[in-house]
Parts: sequence; structure tokens; C-alpha cells
Amino acid sequence: MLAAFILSSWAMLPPDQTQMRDTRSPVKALYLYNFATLIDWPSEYRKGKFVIGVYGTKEGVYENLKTKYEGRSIGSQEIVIRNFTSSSQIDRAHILYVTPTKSSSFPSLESKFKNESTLFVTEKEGYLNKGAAINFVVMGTSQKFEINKTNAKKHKLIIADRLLNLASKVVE
Amino acid sequence: MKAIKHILVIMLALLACNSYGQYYTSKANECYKQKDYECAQNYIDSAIVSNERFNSQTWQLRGLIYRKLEGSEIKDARNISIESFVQARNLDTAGVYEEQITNFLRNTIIRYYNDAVVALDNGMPDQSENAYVLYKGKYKKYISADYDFTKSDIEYYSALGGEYLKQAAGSQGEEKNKLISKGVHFYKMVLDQDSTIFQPNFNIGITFYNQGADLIMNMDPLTEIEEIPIIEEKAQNLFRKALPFLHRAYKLDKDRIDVIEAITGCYYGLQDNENYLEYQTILDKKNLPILLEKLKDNPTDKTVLRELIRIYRDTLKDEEKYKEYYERLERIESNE
Repeated sequence: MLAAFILSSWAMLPPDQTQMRDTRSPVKALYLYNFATLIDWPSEYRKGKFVIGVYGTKEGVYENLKTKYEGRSIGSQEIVIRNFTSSSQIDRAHILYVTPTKSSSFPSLESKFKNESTLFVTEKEGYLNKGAAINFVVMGTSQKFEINKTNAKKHKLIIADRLLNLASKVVE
Repeated sequence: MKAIKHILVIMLALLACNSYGQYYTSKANECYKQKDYECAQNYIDSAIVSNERFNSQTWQLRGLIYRKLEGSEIKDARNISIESFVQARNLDTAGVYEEQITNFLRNTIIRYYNDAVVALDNGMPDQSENAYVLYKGKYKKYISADYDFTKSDIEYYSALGGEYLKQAAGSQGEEKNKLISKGVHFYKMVLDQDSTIFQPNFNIGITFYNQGADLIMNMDPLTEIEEIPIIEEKAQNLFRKALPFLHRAYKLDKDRIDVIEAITGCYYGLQDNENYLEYQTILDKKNLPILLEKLKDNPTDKTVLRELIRIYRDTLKDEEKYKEYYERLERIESNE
């Protein structure tokens, strides 16, 4: 007992090491879910499954939506999350989030769905003018969204004031 | 060996003293030699209320006896031992036993340090810290007021900080936050002594990054829309807090992929695309050979293919290779 004990080397190891995590996708997924709760679809869209589609890769937003929201409900409609990697796969959806890598095909998609009540959510500067009802933007360091009310109306979608009040920009 | 030599010196001195009226001390010494420490204690406590109390060796022996009584029902035996050695030193006005008494004291006081290490090994950091503070306090008071504890502090507080963070990893909620605060506090104490040590910088940085990322990853899926920016802001404050430590760690070791990953993660979470891309590029350059090797082993590994697509599209920008891997992935996915 006369000598000093030696401190174990484990104490110098990192406590809770982790890899870089995708911290942007959960925020977007949560916004998309909230859009679903704060927008009214026409009556013919209020039956059956509530489909949220992601056009783009399976990682990120799609994975977050799938694990956190599939099986939950919007009103009486069960949420289904679908992933589309090509525009030909896309059929009826309540919300279609077009990932930035697929933005270039958005105009043709928009015209294909012009008579549908699909809420198009994009993530590309200037896309509110190209037909999107909601566009994700970054302001400062914060994830925000902007709304084009006219584009929403074209698809017979009614956006709640609560959502409009939180938008960084609203185009009438 | 040195301690045994010292004890023998006391014994010889006590034998010599016996004829000069050191009755209780000699008796105590006999019991001590026979390892009957209770008997030794009775005699030595009688010695210190007799004329023998003026003899430094009596107190030295008392210190040794009480040190042996540590762990018995006698409360505070270690403190009594230390006080006895101090008294022995006070009586040794000529300094004949100075070195010997100092060694006795050092070897007794070091037991507080050992307590601190054992408590840490047993996952009791609060208790450990108390013991370490006692060790330092007593060492300064009785051995050397000017002793430089820098090296010891760095080693000990690094271990203490590590233990708190280790315990935090297995905790939840408020308790987790409390443990993290303590861990970070002790790591910062280490950095106050020497800011160029890699591990505390990395551990503090990664802890803040994880805390921020956890806030986002563990958001309640039904969080109200008004709450989202508030959570985002909280997480970003933690990323901002992490960055100075991570940058320092990166300066100290530029090859550590985990450091670059954490810096990249902070900038990503802060929506700072310029810096994010700078560090993501560094990371991708380091990871590319590993990814290509993995793809060689498994040409249909979709995770690797997606990573390569991202790399050639966003950071190392190579249109041809991007197309090649993109088409490869599409072919695999369309065949599923």
C-alpha cells in the first residue's frame, strides 16, 4: 500500500464516441409531418391512406419519415411513407417531397400532377415560382420554409394560418 | 525496502532507549513486532500520556501502529497516524529523523491518492475526488507546500472527467446532463493546466457535439411546429460550443478521422455549407481508399455506392465517376 496506484488508461478514452450524424433530415421530416397536420386536403383525399412520398434517395428524410411516422395517423388516415427513385414510379401522394438532387425533374412532375391535390415540397432556391407550394430554405443557420398560396390553391389545398404565420415568406 | 530500513532504525533506537525509561514505548514496539496492533495501540497510547511523550520515536511508532490499525474499528486511524508523525517531527528539533519522518508521512498520505484511484475504478467519482482533494491538501500541509501537482492533476482530472462522461453515456435526462457538466468541468481543469493535450479537447468537443445531435435525433416525432426552431437553436449552440475544442484537437492530430467527422457534423448542423464542404472534402479524401476497397470486396454494396455518388457529386466532383456509380446503383435497385 505504500506506492501510488496507477490510474487505469480507460479513463482517457473518449466517452461516447460517435460518427457524424445527419441532423438536417429529422428537422425536415418533422416539418413535413407538421405540414400534413396544418393543411386541408379536399374531401376525396380524406379517405384511404395518407401518403407522404419522397422523390430521391432512401437515406435522410425518407428514413426519418419511415421510422418515425409510418403507421401514425392524420385524422382517420393512416400514414404511409413511400420512396420514389424515378418519376415514373410516382402516383397519388398527399405530400411529395422532391429532394434537391431530383429538383431538375420537378417542372415535369408538377405538370403531370396539375389536377391532383398533391402538396409539392421542394428544396431549391426559386422553386416557389416553378410551382411548389412549399419550399425549404435556410435562413442564417436555421431551417425555414416559404409558401406560395396560389400554388397551393391550384391543387385545392388550404393552408392553416398557423403555418402561414411561421413561413419565412408567403407568396399570395 | 526503505520503509523496512526506517522501521529497523526505530526499533534499534527504542532498544537503546529502553534502559532510559521508555517502558510503554518498548512494550508497544514488542507488540508491534508480533503484529498485535491492538496491544501495541494500548501501550503507545499510555506512552503519550507519560514522560515518553517527549520522545520523537514514541510518536513515530504511534504513527506506524495507527497506520496498521487502518480498517479496524478505530475511526480516523489514518489521521491519528499522520498527526503522530507530525508530532514526532515537531519533537525532532535537531532534525535527526527528518527524512525518515517525511517518508512515513508521504507513505501515509499517498493512501488518500490510492483511495481516489480505487474509488474511480469502482465507479465512485464523487468519493474519488474527495480523496484526491484530501491527498493534495495533506501533502501540501505536511510534506511540501510548494509541491507542483500539475502532472498529477492532469492525469487525475483527465481520468475523473473520463469517468463522469463514461457514466453519462449510460444515463438519461437530468442525471445525464449533470454528469456531462461534471465531466466537462474536470476536463476543462486539465486544459487550464495545459491546453495542448489532445484527449480532453476531443472528449469535450465530441460530448458537446453528441449532446446537440441527440437533441435533434431524439426529438419527439409529434413536436409542435413552433418548437422546431427552439430545439434547432439549442442544438446549434452545442455545436458552436464543440467547435473550438474540436479545432484544437484537429490541430494536435490531423489524422484522426473521428475529429474531422465531428467538425464536419458541427458545421453540417449549423447549416454552414462552406465550412461543412471544406471538412467533408478532407474526410472524403481520407475515406475514399477505404470505400473503394470495400466496393472491391462487395461490388453491390449500396451504402458504399451511395457514399461514392455523394463524394463524386458534392466534394471531389468527378462527373464521370459520379455517373458511373449512379448508374451502377440504379441497376442494382431496379433489379430488386
